Amino acid sequence: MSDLKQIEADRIEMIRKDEEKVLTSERRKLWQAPQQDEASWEVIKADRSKEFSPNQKEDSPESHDESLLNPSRRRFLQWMGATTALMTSSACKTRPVDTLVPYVHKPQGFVMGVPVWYASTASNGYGILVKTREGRPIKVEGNSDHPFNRGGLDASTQACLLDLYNPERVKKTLQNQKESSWKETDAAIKGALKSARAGSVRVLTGSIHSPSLRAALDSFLSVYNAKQHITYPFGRDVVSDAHSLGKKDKVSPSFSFDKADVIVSFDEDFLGSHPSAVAFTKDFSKRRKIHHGDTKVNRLFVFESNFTLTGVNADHRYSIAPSDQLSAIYAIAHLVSQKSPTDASVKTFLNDYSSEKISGQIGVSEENLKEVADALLSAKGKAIVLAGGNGPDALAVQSACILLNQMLGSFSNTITLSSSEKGAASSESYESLLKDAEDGNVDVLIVHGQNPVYHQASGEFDRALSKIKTLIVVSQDLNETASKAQFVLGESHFLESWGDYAFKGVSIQQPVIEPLFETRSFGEILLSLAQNNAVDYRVFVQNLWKKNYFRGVGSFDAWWSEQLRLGTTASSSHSDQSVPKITSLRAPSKSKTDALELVLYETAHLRDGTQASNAWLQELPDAISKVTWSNYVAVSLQLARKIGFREDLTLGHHANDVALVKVGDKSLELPVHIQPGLKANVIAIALGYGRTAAGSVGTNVGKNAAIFSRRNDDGSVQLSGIAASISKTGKTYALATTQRHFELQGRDKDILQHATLAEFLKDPKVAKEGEKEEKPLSMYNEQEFVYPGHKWGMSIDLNSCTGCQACVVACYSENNIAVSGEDQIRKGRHMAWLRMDLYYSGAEDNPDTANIEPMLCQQCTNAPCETVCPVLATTHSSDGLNDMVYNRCVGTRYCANNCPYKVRRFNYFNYSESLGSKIDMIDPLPMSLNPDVTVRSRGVMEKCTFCVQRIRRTVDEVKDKKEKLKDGAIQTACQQSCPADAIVFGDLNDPESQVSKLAATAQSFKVLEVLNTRPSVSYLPRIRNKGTS
Amino acid sequence: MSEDGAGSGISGKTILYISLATIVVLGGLTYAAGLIVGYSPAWYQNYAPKQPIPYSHKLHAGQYKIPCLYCHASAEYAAHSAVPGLETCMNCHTAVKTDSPWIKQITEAYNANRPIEWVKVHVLPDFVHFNHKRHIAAGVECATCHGHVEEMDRVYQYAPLTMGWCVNCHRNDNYVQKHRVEWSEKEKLLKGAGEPSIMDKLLSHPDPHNADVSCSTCHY
Repeated sequence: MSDLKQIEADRIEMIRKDEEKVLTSERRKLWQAPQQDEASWEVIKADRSKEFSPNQKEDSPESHDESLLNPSRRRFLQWMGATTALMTSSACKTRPVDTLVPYVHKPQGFVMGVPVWYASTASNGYGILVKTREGRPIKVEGNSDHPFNRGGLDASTQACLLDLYNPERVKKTLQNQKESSWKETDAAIKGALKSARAGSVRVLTGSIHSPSLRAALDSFLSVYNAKQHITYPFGRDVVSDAHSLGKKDKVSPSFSFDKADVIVSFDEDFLGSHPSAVAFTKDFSKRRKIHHGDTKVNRLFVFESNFTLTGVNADHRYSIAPSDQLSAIYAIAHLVSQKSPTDASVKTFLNDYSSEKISGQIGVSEENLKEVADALLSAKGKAIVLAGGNGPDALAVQSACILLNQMLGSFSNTITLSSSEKGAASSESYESLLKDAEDGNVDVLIVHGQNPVYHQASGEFDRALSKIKTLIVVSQDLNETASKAQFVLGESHFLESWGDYAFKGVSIQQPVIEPLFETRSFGEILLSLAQNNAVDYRVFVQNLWKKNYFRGVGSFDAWWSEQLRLGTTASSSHSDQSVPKITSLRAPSKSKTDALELVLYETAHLRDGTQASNAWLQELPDAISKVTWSNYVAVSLQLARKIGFREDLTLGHHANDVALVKVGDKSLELPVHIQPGLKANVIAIALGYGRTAAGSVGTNVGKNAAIFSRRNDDGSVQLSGIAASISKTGKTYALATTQRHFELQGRDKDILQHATLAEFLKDPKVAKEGEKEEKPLSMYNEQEFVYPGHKWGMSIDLNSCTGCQACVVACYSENNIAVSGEDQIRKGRHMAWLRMDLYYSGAEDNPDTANIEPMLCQQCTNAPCETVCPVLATTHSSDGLNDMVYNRCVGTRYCANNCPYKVRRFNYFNYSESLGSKIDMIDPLPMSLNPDVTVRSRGVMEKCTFCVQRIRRTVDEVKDKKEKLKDGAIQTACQQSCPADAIVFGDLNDPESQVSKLAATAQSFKVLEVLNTRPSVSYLPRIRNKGTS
Repeated sequence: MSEDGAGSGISGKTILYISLATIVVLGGLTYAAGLIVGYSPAWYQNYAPKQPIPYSHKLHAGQYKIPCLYCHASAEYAAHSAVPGLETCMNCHTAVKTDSPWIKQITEAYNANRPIEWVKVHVLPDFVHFNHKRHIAAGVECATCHGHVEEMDRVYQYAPLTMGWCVNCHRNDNYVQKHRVEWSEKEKLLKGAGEPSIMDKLLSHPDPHNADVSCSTCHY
């Protein structure tokens, strides 16, 4: 008997040692930030030991530097005692009397508590489905039938609900910044328009993709003999400029990433900040489905100056300086031209750019350049080369791209040209508006959808403005341009107004709620100014559709209703099969200097800063740096060492040195963030921050880096490769970053698995290093839980996931997640239930890879949180969920402490009562809440529950129909919004379900499997295609 | 406090702290107890608030035998059992008893498109998601939870509506099955023996139709 005991004891000892080895003795493979060594772990340990030290000086009441706002622990208890005593007397109260207010006339087909869905189109062209409850939109989802986004949606469109319910919108009209009625304003504006000189009325807009708005604008332009000017925030039109050269209409390339085997991107963040990123991600990720059995995966090479989401997803990433962009493309073109038929003149030109010459200059080895060229040559007709970045030679870069694509036969295979922007050709440029205004030829300027005072921060617009008599701004909020206008007209949100959108098909935009305030859509405003009688814009859109799109079969009304129901219709864009012309190739504009090169970029979530007043987007961590609520200047580790910039990301010790960035005579003070993977002579600053008029939420968040942008001689705006200098200021600022809220603590081995394609094809299990054949001994009663019906599970494909964070915002919207604000995030109190972890591997200054891993509650079978809850507020459900009962929770936080995945979030204050303490949840903000999910209050733990409200509702509906639940019928909010289809949810008890099949693959792994928590979430490893040989 | 335990070692401050701590604990407990009692649905058993219009269920549902679902139709289709709009009242009261002062008030409100604010009798906290539809589909009678409303002049809360009360039904696997026999008899009485019985169909269903008592069945 004792022998048996001894054997068992030895076995346990052996397993313990084995696990210890896995946990501690492996060399560090993944890391979260440079210089993150044992030292920082020592700081944490020191902090922790301080808390309970008997010798601790700070804690004795005598020495504590006390004030009313910073009391000692004991003083705090005294106050708490006194207040609680007072509260006791007020506790003897009863529930308030509540009333039921039914409809007088119930709308037909409406059932209280049952959501109604409407199909519509967002202002950026994405097809959406809007979920409404009792008449108010509460969730926006992608329309899977829409040809553009095909079901996916990005973070900013998900977040549009907060824009709709923003209490600080322009509620009516403003005349000289004083509230006025539409009647008075209309009359005043008509007066100004009539007294204007001929040809002096101008309209400044962005691209117009709506056929009905186009018609309304045309009728306005002809009535007032006005001209339209088009502008783009931060000038993004170089791509279409280069492609439309010598063409009648303005065309832009549309890329078919699903057909491309090899993609080479030069500074084009097509998976992140690009306006079509959702569509691109959809196509791109289709070719990353190696875990679904498709081994012919694509290969992405990225040459970039800043670290972007596209760089994260690259199979090969090379960091280059912006001024080397053109040389890099020429070097590749030179290599390609040697093996493909090319003009002699082009060949001679490219001879100056042989890889031997260029590789030293740009810092990419000859072998690497050859590898890119070989990959491209092996994929002729199935390759895409694209560039962006608005560098010093933006137009030449585009031409070089066109040249490469021609050599590779990409046009009409993977790239087609389409003229999507109707009427753009007849419009005039922004520059001509500036010129006319300075000449005194503009009397009335109407601005819609653009914010030139903020975006064109170099001051040209302000100068032009002083010569314009009347400025009319149509806007949802009182932005920088609107606050300088004589007339501000409150614009309806796209969820409140009629319209349409023509891009990859035409779709209708229908209102899902009556305008919350007395606002009008831009089309309505134009029509009411152009015509003297009041117009119903719905009738206007309908008539236009009857004329242009209705094919005359059956009744129009029935057809129209069907279009409204579907939210999409057949494609109308005419694709252009011709190949674009190339301008004469020219050498890079400037020789290399020692000056630092500044890169200004748009982030994937805030983009041009129009949605800066959106608290969900401000709270959303940057996709790479994980910084919230601010922009910063990103520098390389080498530069930081050289100048002596320091950054501490350890939780509770956040401190970033503040740098002074200078370009010419302009300068900004910005906190420094050390970004691995930048060239030593490159610094980068995000655009879209530093709004000075963006309501309570967005005003003065970060600094406006657009002041550094420069206008090139050819009219394009230069955003990168700007010569800059940087110096220390001696100040520090604490950037609220979530990157190191949770430390790896040596457990990286088991967290994220990745391998190269060649390794993976040899052995799919290659990524699962350290996996043990033997099942570990368990402390849990493994027979405790039986799952008689369903057992919900999820599978996340790290190889498809691009890290766009659309799911994070979808989760905020679906689950009423509170915005805690910058200050709380510094303390580690970010409330997101689903977060994107980012781990680098390789050298600290130039990491091989950056890997993104969505992390959410793993719904463990052996859940460590459940065993420690003293009040049974977190328990196991019979369908495998790890329930969280908010009303039962007393806030001990033991569960969060014991959770190895750190996915539990504690509501320290009443976060749900305001948006990041910036604006209270005043009407109409609470209308955005999902009534199916409890709004959590102070002192309660919360976490992901696999959207249990959706599970319950779908199961309920299936029961009504007396059917069996179909696989895929339940979609969690994160899964639904994922443009890469990386998340699969379903029943693990059903062996035929997709999630079961994926979980059963050899390569599928669980995070921290060694802890024997038996999660219901399984991950599929990240596979990098470094070539199959 | 000193090791030897002499009384002189306890300073005035210590006493203050101990008393404050006691206040904290006692105060907290009393507060929580007050809230639990004051907000618990059980406290409101037999609660019968005065309504703006003294609508009598005894008259409508009892004497005139208007079925519950005629007015509370959404109970069959949704989690909520909504109170009917005024248009439902006006289905009859454009013709019936138009001279009553209360009906005149209703007509007036209806014509002015002004809803009547009824006082809520049954209130479940926001963190409880109860589903009427499921219970009706399973054949649970309204009266099981709401009492014999057809005998109430003014509606009162019949059941305690506490979690324990809910769970007691759901823990008893045979509860629904047992009652179905009883309800099937009733159904036959109403419809006549020849008609096919819905309840008989449900009785032969193998699924126990009794949701389990996982927390997330109701709390999320």
